[in-house]
Amino acid sequence: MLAPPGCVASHNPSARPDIHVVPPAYGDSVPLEPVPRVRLVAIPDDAVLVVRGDELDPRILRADATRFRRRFEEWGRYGVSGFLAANDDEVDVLCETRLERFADIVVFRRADLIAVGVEVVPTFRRPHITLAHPDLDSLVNGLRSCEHRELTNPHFQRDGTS
Amino acid sequence: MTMSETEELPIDLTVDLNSEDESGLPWTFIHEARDRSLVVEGAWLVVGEGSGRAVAQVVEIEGDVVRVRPLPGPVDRHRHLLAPRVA
Repeated sequence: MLAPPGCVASHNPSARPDIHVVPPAYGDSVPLEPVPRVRLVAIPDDAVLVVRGDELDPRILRADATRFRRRFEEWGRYGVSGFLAANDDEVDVLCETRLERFADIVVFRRADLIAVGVEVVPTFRRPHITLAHPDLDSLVNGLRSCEHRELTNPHFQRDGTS
Repeated sequence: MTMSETEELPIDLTVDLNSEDESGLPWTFIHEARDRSLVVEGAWLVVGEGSGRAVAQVVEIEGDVVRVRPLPGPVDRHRHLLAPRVA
């Protein structure tokens, strides 16, 4: 695994004693796991919104969900990624950070997703979540039929504008 | 013919830029590459799908899983990092 820019990959302190040595765990490869890491802390009650970059294109949703199912086969669910937010201010922060490469985003209410049968599972690092279902069609149709807002990302920069 | 500065670059590797895994990075499978020979650790590629695109560095290839680190900002901003493209 490549060390991030500015980091020293060597763990030998005598090589460059004037430079901070990265701890051995840092930059090491993270082994692939057969199931997604589910956070032990439940989703906070105030995280009422779920945000995902891009439009709800069924072709892309199916491809992403199938890729996820293949990667985490032992978990037995199809899944697509999204992010939790408590309010529109947090949606804006996500638009400026994790979702800044998307021209458009969709915002669901978490309760609405649960009502259409889509699981909202806190996976990997906060605020990431996986929208999951054991059946691919039920996941894709559930997401597309669920009430949602489609928003233009105010922080998106098109090619040729930088 | 070399692609001009104004042409949109093709996606080298299909990645859901919403995604992350245990590494905290977006990931995909190597078969999602338009040309597998492009996907080597350290390479800079155009990644994404749909309207979400970015220049990203291939951080790790483990088995058939590829992890990438996308750069902020539009693809144009980082065009100089990409290998010359042939149309």
